[in-house]
Amino acid sequence: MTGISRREALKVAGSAAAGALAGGLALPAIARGQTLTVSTWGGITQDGIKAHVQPLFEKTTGASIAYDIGGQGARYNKLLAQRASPPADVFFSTDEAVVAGRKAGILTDASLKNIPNFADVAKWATTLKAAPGDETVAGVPYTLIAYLLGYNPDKVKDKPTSWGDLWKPEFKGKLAFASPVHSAMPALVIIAAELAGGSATNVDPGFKKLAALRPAKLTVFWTDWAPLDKSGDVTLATEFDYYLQTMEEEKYPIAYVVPKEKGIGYPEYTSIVKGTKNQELAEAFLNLMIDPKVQEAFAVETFQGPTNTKVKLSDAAMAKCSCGARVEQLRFFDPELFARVRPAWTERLNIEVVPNWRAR
Amino acid sequence: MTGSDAAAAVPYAGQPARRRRTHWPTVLLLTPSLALLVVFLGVPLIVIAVTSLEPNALLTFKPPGLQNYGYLAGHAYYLDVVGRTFALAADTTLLAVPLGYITAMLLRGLSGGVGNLAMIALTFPILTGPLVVVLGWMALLPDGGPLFAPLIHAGLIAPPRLLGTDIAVVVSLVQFTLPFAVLTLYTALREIPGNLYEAAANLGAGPVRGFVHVTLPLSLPGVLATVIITFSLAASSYVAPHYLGGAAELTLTTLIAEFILATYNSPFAAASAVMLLILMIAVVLAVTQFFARLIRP
Repeated sequence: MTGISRREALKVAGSAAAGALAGGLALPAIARGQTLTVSTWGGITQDGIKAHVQPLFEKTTGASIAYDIGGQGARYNKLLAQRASPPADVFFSTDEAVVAGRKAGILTDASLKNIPNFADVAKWATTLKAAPGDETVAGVPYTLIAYLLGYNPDKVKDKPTSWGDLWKPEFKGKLAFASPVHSAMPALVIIAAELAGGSATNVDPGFKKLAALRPAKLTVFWTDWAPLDKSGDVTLATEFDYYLQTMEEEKYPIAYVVPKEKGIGYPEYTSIVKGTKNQELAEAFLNLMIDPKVQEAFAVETFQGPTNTKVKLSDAAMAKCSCGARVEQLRFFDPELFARVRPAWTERLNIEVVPNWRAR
Repeated sequence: MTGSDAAAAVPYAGQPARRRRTHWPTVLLLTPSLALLVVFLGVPLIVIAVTSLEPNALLTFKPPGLQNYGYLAGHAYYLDVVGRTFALAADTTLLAVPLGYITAMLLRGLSGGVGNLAMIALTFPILTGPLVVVLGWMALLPDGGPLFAPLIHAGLIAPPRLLGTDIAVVVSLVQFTLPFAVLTLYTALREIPGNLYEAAANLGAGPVRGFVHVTLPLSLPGVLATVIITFSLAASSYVAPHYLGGAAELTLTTLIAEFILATYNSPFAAASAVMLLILMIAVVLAVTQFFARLIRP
C-alpha cells in the first residue's frame, strides 16, 4: 500500500461518513457527558468502530466511547470476574459466547424499540434465538465471516475444493489447522464426522477422522501460520475469509476457496452487558453497528460481510467478503449446541486427537 | 569489630528481653511489604483455591470438594501435561545453569568497559521480554526459515521440523533464562574473596583444584539460587510453550489458559494452577534440601 495506511484511510472515511449519517438519522442526544465502554477485539474491528461508529455515536448521543480491548476469552473472563461492577457496557463476541454469557449471567437483553435497524437484518444472520419476549433480542449480528480453506497457489498444483482435501497425502505436515480451542473446532468435528459417515449427533467418526490429520501447525489467529505460508512450510490452512483476504492484500502467497460441502458461516455479535448503567446508550450503539452505511464501510475496509439487507456493495467489494452469493455457500451451526458441547469436545480433542498429531 | 566484640560493647547484649525489643523495628519495616504480599498474593491465592473446589461443565458435585483434583490426577493426559511441564523446566535448568556458570566465570575475568558491554549484551533478552525472544525463534526455526532453509536446499540436512516440539521450547527458554542465571552466578562468584584464590595457589593448587576446592563450594549458594530461579521461570513460562510448542504440546500454563480462555472452566483452571504451585514448592524444597547437604556451614 502506498501513500496512506489502511488505519488512516479508516479514520478519514469514518469522519466523512459520520457527517452524512448524523444528518440522515438525526438521533436524539440522550447522554451528554456519559461514556459507553465497548469490549471488543483490537486491530481492524476496533479501527472500524473508531472510524465509522464512534464519530456518529458521539454526534448523535452526546456520549463518548471508551474501549476494553483484548481476545474474546480474556474479555469474557473480565466480565465474569467483575460482574458486580461490569467493566464494559457492550460486548463483541461469537454467537456461542453470547449463549454462554447469558447462561453465566453476564449478558442481558436488548430492547428492539431502540434498535430499528434490526428489522432489516437478514434471517440467516440471527443464529441466536430471540430473548424472552417479542420486544427484545439477545444481541445483534453485526457482521458475517466464514471459515474456509486457504492455500499457497505457488506450491499447490490442484487447488483444494473440499474439506476432505485436508486429508490428502500432499498436505501431510504442510497443514495449518485450527487448534482444539479455536471457535471453529466444534463445526470442524461435525464436518469431519459427516465426511466419515457420522453426523452432529454421532461425532465419534469425526474424532477418529480428525486424529488421522497431520497438521504442521495448530492455529488460533492467522499470524500463527502466516510466516509459515511465506516460508513454504504450510501450503494449506483452515482460516477465516477476512484474514485470508487480509493476507492477500498484504501480498502473502495465498488464495482461498469455499469447500463444496459449504464453508462455516459465523455471524459475529454485539450484545449488552448485564448490570450496565447505560442500557439505552448501549442499544443506540447496537443499532449503529447494523446501520447500512456503517456495515458498508466495514465490508469494504475490513472484509467482514454485512448482515443488513439494505447494504449495497460494489462487485469488487463483494468479491472480498462473505456477501452476496458466498452467503449461499455457507452453513450456519447452532451456537447453543456449541456452547453445550465445547468443554467435553475440547477435552476429547486433547485426549483422543492431538496426541496423534504430535506423533507424526 | 567481630560479632562477639559488638555484643560485649552493648549493655545486656545476648539477654532475651533485649533481643525481643530489637525485633520491633524489623517487624515494622517488614509490615508494608508483608501487607502487600497478603493483599495482592495471599488473597488471590485463597480465591483461586476456593474456586478450584467448585463444580464445572465437566464435573458436577456438591461444593466444596476435591473432585477436580481427583479428575485431573486420574487422567493420564493431564499427568502427561504435568510431566512435560517439569521435564521442560528441568531440561532448561540443566542447560542454563552450566552455561550460565561458564559465562559468569568468563565475565568475572573481564574488566572495565568490556565487562560492562558484555553484561549489557547478555541482559538484552531481559530488556526485550520473552515475547520478542520467542517471535525471533518463530522466524528462525521454520524449515523454510533463514537457519535451516540453506542447509536443506544444499541437501545437508533433512527438514528438522522443530517448531511445535519440546526442543524449540527448551531452546527458547534457555535463551530467556540464561541472563538471569548469569547475573545471579556472577554476583555469587564476585563475592568470593580474591585472597582465597591466592591462598589456594600458594598451597600448590592448580586452576582445576582451585576451582573444585574453592570456587565451586563457595559458589554453591549462588548455584542454588540460580537453579530455583531458572526452574521457576521455565515451569511457569507461558509464551514459549504457547508459540513454539503449540497446542499439541500443552504445559500446565497453556492448559490453564485453555481452561480459562477457551472453555470458560475456571474451577479446572484454578485446580491446575494450585497443582502447579504445590509441585513447584515441592521441587524447590527438594532442590534446597539437596544443596543444603553440599553447602558447607
